[in-house]
Amino acid sequence: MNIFKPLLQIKDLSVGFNGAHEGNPVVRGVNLEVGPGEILGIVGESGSGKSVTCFAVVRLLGERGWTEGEILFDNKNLLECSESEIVSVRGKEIAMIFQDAQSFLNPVQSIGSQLLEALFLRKDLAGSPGSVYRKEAVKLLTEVGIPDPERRMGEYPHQLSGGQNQRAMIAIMLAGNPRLLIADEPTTALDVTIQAQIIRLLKKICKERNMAIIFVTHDLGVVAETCDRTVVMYGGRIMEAGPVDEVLVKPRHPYTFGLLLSKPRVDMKVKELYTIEGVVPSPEKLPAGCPFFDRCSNVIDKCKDNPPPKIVEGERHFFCFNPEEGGVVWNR
Amino acid sequence: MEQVTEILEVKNLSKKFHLKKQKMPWQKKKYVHVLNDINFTVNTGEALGIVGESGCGKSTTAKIIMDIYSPTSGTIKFKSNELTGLKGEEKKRIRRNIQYVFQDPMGALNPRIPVVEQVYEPLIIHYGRNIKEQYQKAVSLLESVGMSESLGKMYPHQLSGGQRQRVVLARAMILEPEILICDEPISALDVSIQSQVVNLLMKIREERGITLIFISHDLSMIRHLCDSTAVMYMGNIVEQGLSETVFPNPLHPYTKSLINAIPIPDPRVKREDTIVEGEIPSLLNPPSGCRFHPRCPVAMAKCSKKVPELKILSDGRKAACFAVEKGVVQ
Repeated sequence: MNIFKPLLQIKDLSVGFNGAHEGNPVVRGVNLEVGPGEILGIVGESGSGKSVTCFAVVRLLGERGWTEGEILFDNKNLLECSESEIVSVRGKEIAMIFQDAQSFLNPVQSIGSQLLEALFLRKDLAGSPGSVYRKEAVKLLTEVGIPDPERRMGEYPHQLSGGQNQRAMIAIMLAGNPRLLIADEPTTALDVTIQAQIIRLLKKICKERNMAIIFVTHDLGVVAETCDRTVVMYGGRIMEAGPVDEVLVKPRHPYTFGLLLSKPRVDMKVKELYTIEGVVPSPEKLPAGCPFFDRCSNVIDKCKDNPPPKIVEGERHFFCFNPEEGGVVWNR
Repeated sequence: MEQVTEILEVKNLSKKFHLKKQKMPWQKKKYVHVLNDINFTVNTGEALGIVGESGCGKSTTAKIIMDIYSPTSGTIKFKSNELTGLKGEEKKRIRRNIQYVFQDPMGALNPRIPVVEQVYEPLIIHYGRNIKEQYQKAVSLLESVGMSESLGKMYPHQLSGGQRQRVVLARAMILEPEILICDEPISALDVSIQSQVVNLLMKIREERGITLIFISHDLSMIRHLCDSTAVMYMGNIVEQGLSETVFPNPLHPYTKSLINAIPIPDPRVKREDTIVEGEIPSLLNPPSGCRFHPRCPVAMAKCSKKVPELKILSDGRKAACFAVEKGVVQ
């Protein structure tokens, strides 16, 4: 076995926004890493900080955002890079795809010209004739499974369906040969059959290009189908992290447990859905301890004021004073 | 055994929308056919799930039942009353028995009125003003959906998404309808809130014996909540039957691929890789014959020529597929 060498390492990352709630970070003490050829799933509900973490990696938080900690990409701290250095990372080393392809693509430019624009940034192609670029563009569109790519090059986003636009966006992002792809809810807006196609495409790309992928989603089902490892976030903190085979089969954190059991399954009849009472807390009301304490069924006295300890079990770890013991029992 | 009575009957329902205004008399009118000859019945106390991908016509069906759109052809019967063509007081009297819950609660609520007033507003419209009594009724109904009186005095923007959806549910329930139509009521909510609303819906059903038509693209939720399921594709019902016969053993190739495409949150479950290729064709230019045939793995020559009818099979379910009829698909 070769030694796992992470491509991206996030160490003790905290993110907050200036303004009324300046002192309340929306992401607190996040540690994660992802290596080449691996898909890492970040799961969480709205407001859990999963997207903000991703935006921090590519430094897209804007002027109001502040960050603490380290984001090491190939042993270079992205948070300390100058603006010009980060520009050379975005798109070329780290690419990001979004939920809404329709608003990502420029409506008045053809798919081809948007793809070529991304290809012109490629150093290894510099100085080649236009036909080389065109060939490369068609190759990319074929790779992402767009039928009849020659013709599609001249078409505009409104002429393509939602799934095709999603594929076109992935092609544009692959143009720079990135080593890390961040996919922020790439399938949420799509129909289920198209979602299955896009998931298969991302898995194929990950394998063929030996790329690292961070897959952000709120659907544990998608994580089970797609990812190798997963990080479960809630209220800006990591609740549980580890290989999918362990975390989703025998969750130890009560939040993962509840999240898993609160959705019915299509392949079996579930008698009653588990409910997590209450609502997701807003970032200004997060407690000093575990953010899940007021909705947790395993809550004990010290949960509110003390941050729970990190417990490591094999390849997985979780943060909880009173973890779940038994595995998930479906069909209760 | 309880007697099964039909409460709603939808017969040969079709709907086409004008695409473009006919500017000159010699120009051809263009239509888009959204629903083709939909037939189904709902029994009293039953929960029917209508499932399909975007553009399949599931919401249009519900909106026609609600009289938001008028059908191009076909009839809808509530008990023994024909719903299309009702007028005046009679329409009000019969229509009050069917209520609707929208997907987006923020859009369904008036942002300038405290929610409790919106909950009893239907009572004023239908029975006249009697604020004291109606207020009490609204508050007790809000309590039964898990909202306190003080929350009722708030405005929609002060509530969370789950609370807003509870308000919309209470408002739909206040006229004590016999049929509740829920159009994607949970898809805008977070997973942990979804299960709260679904459990509430199940509680309401149990307590009041209400008939539920639940529209969703989420097959797992349909299986959990509904007794029977109708699967739609491009304006046709392709398979229909009891949830416990359809889900474990889908027959129509589309239902099969749809169920196979739903991710299961259990990495131990390994399924056959039968992802359906291609995308849903445009309704403006639908394929001939069976609308699923360009994507269908078991398509035959006949499929592109003739439209298969929805036929009753031996186990009581209905499916519209030549391959199923022939016994190619088991």
